[in-house]
Amino acid sequence: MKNKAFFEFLTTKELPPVALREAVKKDISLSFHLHSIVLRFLSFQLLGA
Amino acid sequence: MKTDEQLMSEYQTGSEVAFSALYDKYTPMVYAFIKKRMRSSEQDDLFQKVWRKLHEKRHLYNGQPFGPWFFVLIRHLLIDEYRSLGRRARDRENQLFDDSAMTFQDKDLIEDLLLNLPQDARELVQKYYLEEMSYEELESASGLSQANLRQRLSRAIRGLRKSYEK
Repeated sequence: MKNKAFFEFLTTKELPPVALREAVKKDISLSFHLHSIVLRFLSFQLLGA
Repeated sequence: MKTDEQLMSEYQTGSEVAFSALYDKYTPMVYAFIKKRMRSSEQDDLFQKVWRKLHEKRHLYNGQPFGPWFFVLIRHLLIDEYRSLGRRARDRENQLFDDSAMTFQDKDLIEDLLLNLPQDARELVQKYYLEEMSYEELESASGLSQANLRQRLSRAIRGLRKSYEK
């Protein structure tokens, strides 16, 4: 049953290893900045040219 | 304190802080759920895929209760994963969200946990999660405001978690 699985999802907790937790968070956080990093890179390229 | 729905809405508009809050809150639930259903060699990879998928699909969120929405996303990802693992995984896929996939101990535990809640909280959890009533429907049925209902539901879930951890 979907509902029971969902209920289990809500009530069961286990922390992943710290290295995994941090790596995934960093991965997503990086993508927030990716746009500005690319823009900065391109502007450097243009200025350089 | 912000609701998950508020955090998700801020995450959609680019708030890293909101993402971080959701990540910290849901990580233990996501990991426990995956761990129970995947081999150890596949768990970490899938955990990462779940969060990447949420990031990629965040624009599709339109204000519905976040928990169930996120759960559906995880469920689809697990099904895709089982399919990519091939035939041997098909049985696991079939059992994934089937009642039989839960052990008797799981069912007893959930029933016990629910019984520990006060009656009004228990009814609210059952209506929202098991009968899938919306906040609008609950509001008209109970006469309580949606904000009040969210608060009560959040308190009930905290109560369930506390009982579970004991």
